Amino acid sequence: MIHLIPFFGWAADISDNPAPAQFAFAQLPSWFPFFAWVDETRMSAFIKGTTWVFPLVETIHILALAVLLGSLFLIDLRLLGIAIRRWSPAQIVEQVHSFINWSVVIILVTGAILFVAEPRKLFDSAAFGPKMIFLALAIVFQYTLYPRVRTMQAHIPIWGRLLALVSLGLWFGVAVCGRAIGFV
Amino acid sequence: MSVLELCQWLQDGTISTALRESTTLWPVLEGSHLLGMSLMMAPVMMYDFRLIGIRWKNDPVSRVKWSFLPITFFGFTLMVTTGVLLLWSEPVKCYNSVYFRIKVVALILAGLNAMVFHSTIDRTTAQWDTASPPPFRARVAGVLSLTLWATVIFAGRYTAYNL
Repeated sequence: MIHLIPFFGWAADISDNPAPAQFAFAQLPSWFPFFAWVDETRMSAFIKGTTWVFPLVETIHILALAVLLGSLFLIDLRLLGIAIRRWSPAQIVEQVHSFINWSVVIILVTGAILFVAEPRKLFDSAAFGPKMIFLALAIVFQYTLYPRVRTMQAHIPIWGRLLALVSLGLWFGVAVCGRAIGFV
Repeated sequence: MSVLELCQWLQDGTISTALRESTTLWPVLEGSHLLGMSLMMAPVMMYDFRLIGIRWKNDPVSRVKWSFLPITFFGFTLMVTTGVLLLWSEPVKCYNSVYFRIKVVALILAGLNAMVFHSTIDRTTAQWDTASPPPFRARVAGVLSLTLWATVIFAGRYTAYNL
């Protein structure tokens, strides 16, 4: 875009169109109509018009994340042989699986509301794209391979430790990229 | 010296300024604070739900306690360490925040709840170790603990919003 700058004549203002951040959704222009449409919805307007909805929803989002990550820590620390050796991984899963499922539901619902609140910012965010990739991988992993933990009694095979590391890595990625949305 | 003056003096110091202005250390501290929160909350929940009588019903209370307590201590240590540094980085903001005051009150109440529990009903655990549900006072301690820690997390997050 060309601006008239007093005393300095015409100059191109590069800050109007910065290059999209690496890994941001802005790298994929075909997604833009979707993000723009969400931005125009009445729900988005409603959230932007209040000061209390966003903090409340985000706090619930983080509380649910703490329960989810914490519950996975219990199982994964057991799989790695670090803690809670009194019970088998299967027994721990038995006690925490409903916490995991409910916190995943709450995280997805509150996350969708947070997305509706600021889609344009997220379109440009360098952290939101990677977060969605980690999230997709984590959810698929959580409900396909990870349930094998239910079969593990006293003896934990080597791939049990692998499941723990992959599980921690993927959900960590989601959490770290999610927190980074507020920083980058 | 008033508390506010103390906060201002702390905030003007080298360490506080360095923490606040660091673009790498501060996010790492905050991220570790959240990590400590999840490490601490899940085992606390397990023990509290056992005290309330809705999880680990077939296992003795003492066994649940000693299985999860080490993880709780680890998470708690991480939270306190990073929490002190985060407070150090912006003491005046925390002093002026209503939510931070709520957080401090909830933390004190959570500590008192644990102290009262451990010095009274917890001493007789051997008598009701396998009871499900446990005695009324143990269930009250469990509900209070869950409520207070949830309040700490809520108020902690709200401290960061300039509401």
